[in-house]
Amino acid sequence: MESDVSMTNRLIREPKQEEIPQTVQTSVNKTVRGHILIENVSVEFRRNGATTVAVENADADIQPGEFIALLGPSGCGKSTLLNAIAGIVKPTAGKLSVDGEVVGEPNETRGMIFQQHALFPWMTVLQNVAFGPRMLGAANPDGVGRTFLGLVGLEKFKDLYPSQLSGGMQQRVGIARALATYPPVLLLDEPFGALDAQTRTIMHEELLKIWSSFRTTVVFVTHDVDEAIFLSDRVLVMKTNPGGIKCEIPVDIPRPRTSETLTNQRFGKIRREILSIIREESLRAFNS
Amino acid sequence: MASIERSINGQTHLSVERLASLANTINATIWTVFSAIIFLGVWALAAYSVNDAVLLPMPIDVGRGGLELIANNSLLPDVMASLKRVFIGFFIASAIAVPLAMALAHNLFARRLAMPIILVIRPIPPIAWIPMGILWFGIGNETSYFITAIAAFFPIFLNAFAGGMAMEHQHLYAAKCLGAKRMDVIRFVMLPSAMPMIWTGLKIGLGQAWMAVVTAELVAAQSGLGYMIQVYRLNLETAYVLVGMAVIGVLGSVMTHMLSWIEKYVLPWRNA
Repeated sequence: MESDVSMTNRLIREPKQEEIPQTVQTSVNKTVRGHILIENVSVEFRRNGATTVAVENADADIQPGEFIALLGPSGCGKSTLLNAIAGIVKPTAGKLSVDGEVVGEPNETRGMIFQQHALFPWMTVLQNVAFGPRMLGAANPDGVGRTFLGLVGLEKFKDLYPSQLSGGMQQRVGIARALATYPPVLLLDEPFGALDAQTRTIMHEELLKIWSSFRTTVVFVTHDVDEAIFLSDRVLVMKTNPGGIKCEIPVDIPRPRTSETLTNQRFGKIRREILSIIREESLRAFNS
Repeated sequence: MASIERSINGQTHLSVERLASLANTINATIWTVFSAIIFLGVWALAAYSVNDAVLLPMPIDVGRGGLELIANNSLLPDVMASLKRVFIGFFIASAIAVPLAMALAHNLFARRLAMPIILVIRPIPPIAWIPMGILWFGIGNETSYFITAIAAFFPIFLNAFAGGMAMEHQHLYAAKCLGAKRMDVIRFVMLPSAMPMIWTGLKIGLGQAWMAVVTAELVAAQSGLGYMIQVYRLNLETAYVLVGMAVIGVLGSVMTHMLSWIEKYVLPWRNA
């Protein structure tokens, strides 16, 4: 794994301006898209006659280009809320819209990066990344695919199959694949949960680097407090039983953020604040 | 990581692997020869004690019979007739079974409607379709196509269906988030993710079709290996009957192996 970390360091670099295809530049610079509005959303699951409330009365207004972290323990409904934004599960009450349009089936306006990378094992790395552009009728899907593989530093692995890559590399392909359709909204479901600590730290910085040139709206699900603070503009702290949004904590730490951010005073203060909320919440759940 | 290193800079690993696979091949060949010698020995011993060339001819007589049938050019036309029937029936079965399986795996309504019918038709053995085949198509190629297609259909269909149903939800969502529409999902996600199972179905289906064509030719054809062994039985030329049986066995085994050999080109990610 050590070699993987050093390779990540060496290979990932910030995209040069001319490397980002024209369409990205225009969609990033001119139109403001990716406004997510969550109004009083509840999601209930019914199984064997029993009803479980996964998310109750969630409200959030996520601005275009904002980086949001959904933070909470397992069972707080954070993945369910993310899946609702994606269109994978339907809210049982409330309204969920992106850019004024009610969320329906999953589509290319909301890109997803999954915990288990979900790359297509029967396609090569390049075919995976070029899949989106190809579906959307791009003139040269392979060219777009190569550009985005370059962004995550994996161009020379383009003809390998996903199973031949390490976990960190697979997730970088997943990021390249999701970005290759220029989605206004990017949804990430604990994407680095399966990676080791060192690879993870590097992936955080690389994700921020890439995001800074694309500026799509990001909703990032995690149970890791440090990860949530390091990445986001705003942390939505979730509660359990029933699941839902407990409160939101703005993260006013300047960007670009680096490994030094973790020792920053602001970071420590926000961290303590969030941990005390989580502690209070777990005590409440424990006593009820 | 190990696999990356191997594919990028590992010529030495490759040649070691190649050597090991060569050793395996030689080993397997030795055992095959060994097992053939034992089989022929037991057969010869049995034929010697039976001492009746109509009931059980000696292996050497069957070998000579095979050479005679090749020399007078009567074996090849029968082989070709059977092969043609198998491949046409197999092709028809695949062309119907795979798209149908994908459609049913994709559509709940169609699945609920069709599965009860399929599950009742499936237990009917291909041989039981021969009377209907003769009524509908007469004695000739069409009946054989029909019977081989039926024999090949179910293993292909059931495996392809199971493969389609086993498609991972995450792959479906990923595809939709990348702009795939309904038909794209079936073509680019469901079909390739079912491909390993489809391939298994095709291998079993081809074997079934080969067995079925011989059965069909025993009663419903005027040529082919099945017809040939039936005719030689009536003439009490048992050595020729056994030649036909040996050819059926060898060709069936070769066909199944052929599909295994090309598997790595059809499912390249499987061996990557």
